[in-house]
Amino acid sequence: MINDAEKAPGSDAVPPRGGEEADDMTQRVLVVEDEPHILDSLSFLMKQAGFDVRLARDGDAALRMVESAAPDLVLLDIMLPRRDGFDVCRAIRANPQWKDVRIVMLTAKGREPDRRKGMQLGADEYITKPFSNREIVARVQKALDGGGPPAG
Amino acid sequence: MLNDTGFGNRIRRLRTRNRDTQARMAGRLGISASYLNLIENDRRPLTPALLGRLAEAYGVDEQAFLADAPARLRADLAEIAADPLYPGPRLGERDLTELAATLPAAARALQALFRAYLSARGEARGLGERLAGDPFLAAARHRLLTRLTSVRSYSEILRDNVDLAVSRRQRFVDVLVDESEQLTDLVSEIFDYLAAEGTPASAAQESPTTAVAELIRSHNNHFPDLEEAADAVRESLTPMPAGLHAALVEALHRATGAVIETAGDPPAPALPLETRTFQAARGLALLSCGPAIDRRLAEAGALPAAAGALYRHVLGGYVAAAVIMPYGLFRQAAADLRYDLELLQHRFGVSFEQACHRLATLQRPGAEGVPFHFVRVDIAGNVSKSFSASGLNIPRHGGLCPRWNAHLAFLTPAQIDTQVAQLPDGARYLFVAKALSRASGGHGAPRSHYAVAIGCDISFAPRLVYADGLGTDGSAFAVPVGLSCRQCPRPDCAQRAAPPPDGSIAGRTWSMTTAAGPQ
Repeated sequence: MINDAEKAPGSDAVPPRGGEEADDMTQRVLVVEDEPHILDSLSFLMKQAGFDVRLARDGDAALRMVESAAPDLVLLDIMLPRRDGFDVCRAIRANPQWKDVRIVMLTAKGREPDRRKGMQLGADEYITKPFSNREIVARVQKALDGGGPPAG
Repeated sequence: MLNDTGFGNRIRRLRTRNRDTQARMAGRLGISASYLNLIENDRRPLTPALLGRLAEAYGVDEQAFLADAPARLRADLAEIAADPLYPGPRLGERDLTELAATLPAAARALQALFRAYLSARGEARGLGERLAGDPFLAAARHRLLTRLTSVRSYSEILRDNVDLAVSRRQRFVDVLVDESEQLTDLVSEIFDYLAAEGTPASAAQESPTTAVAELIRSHNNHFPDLEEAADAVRESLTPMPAGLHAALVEALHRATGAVIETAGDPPAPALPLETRTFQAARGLALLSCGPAIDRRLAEAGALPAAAGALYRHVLGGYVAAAVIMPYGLFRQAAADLRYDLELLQHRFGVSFEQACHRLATLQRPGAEGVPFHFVRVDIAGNVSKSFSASGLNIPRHGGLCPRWNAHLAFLTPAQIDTQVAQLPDGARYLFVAKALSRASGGHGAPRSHYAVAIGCDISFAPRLVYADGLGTDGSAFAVPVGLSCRQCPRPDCAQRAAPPPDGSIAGRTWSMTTAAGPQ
């Protein structure tokens, strides 16, 4: 809800960041996925879209990375070993320090209750597998544009 | 197999009305007495030639005979025709009557097909529910989608990036090959699983309960030979200085050497006396009336093992009831007590259900009691027993009209409820119902809740104590009911649970009122 309210009209037209900006302004995406091939392809896609990419293969590692790498966005699979995606989402939202971290959840198609639960827990976007590459990049971009840290 | 057009009963009635013996009637018709006996028991069809001779010898109106006789069959067809399975123009009364009267074999084939269809439909639903909840399939689904996600993503990368470095391109292609191999394995794994689960061999067979219910109905819930066998058992028990239960236990002991003891320490009867009596009588019936029951089983043809076992159990119960409530005595007592169920219970030491059930079997030709129908519904509305000698065509499949007091009885447990019910065709019945609660153990054990109902045509009502004060001669007190919602045309019923048979505007009005109605 908050997301929709804050979304700038015509956000498609926002000029891409990066390039002339300093490296520390490159947006950082943490990809959390236990399936190696999917992790690999997501990593490729996010890098290609110009993000600084970090990877985690389970829920515990994901939370450690949120702590250490301070990502702008977490691309979060739900079915994960040890700590599932819902848990990770809950933990991120429970910490005020990470309130600006965008969360995009990923899960298998046809799990409508999962979608509602994810949104309830504070996810910003929700993508079903199998996704299209263009769609996932666009949704990640949209989540970052829609709710980035308030401009100073 | 069995012919339940109802001609047999009709011919028997015609014969007894004319005070003919089977031999004499057979003589007048030019057939053997044994052949007539088969016809009376619906074991042989009534041929047109025979019908002609019947008309000649007894002055019967052939057309009227044809129109009335297969009423039960026609009612079954009407129920089938009301199923949403048939979307097209509805079969009218005339079509159904004609089909039942002139092509009974085809009508019965239709019935058999419909039963097979219902059982397959139930099976398919069950299978669907099972698959949806199957943990293996849920996991397989997730794995399948994961593999597909990889395949899709890598294919798109290759499509969208023509300038990929050769080594990277090769790596992505390798991933695709690997994923497609895994997909192949996964798909065969799923198919193997489904094949192993398979469609059960029983898919095309009806349930044992349905099969046995059909057998009971085809005999009008009356078995003259079993009545005789039961009378013999009863005779062998007399005198009974310590009561029927003691006599039964003693007889079982003599027959098998078994001692029936009450379990527990100190011994506490787990079941009410009438139940223990009934069980002992059933045991004795199965022991001493084996041949008679075997003949009935043989006559039923090749039954699946489970149906055969159930049929034996049910026939054993029939004999048990006849031992405890002998035909002549019970019928006389019922008439004397004006069918007061509670008084009959006391006199014969039986439960409400046992008394009702027995009343519905009093159809000995020439010595009939009031013709009753009998229904038992559970608290969720499932019909677990039904048969009808009253002329009321109780639906065989699916739910009953919610206005029947068989359901209302749950509102006043343990009290007998009476109702004058009027069907859409104008026929009126007196319904008598009571909700029963059956304990299976002590405190905390789940209880079973049933309602048992009997009913008769309103013309018999004055013979019943339950008609007193109900004003059964006027229609003022009659509750408008139907058989089931699907068969009921009443447009103004607020309790409708399914669209009416014509699936018309009324059906839409019904769903709109339901959706928008006050809660």
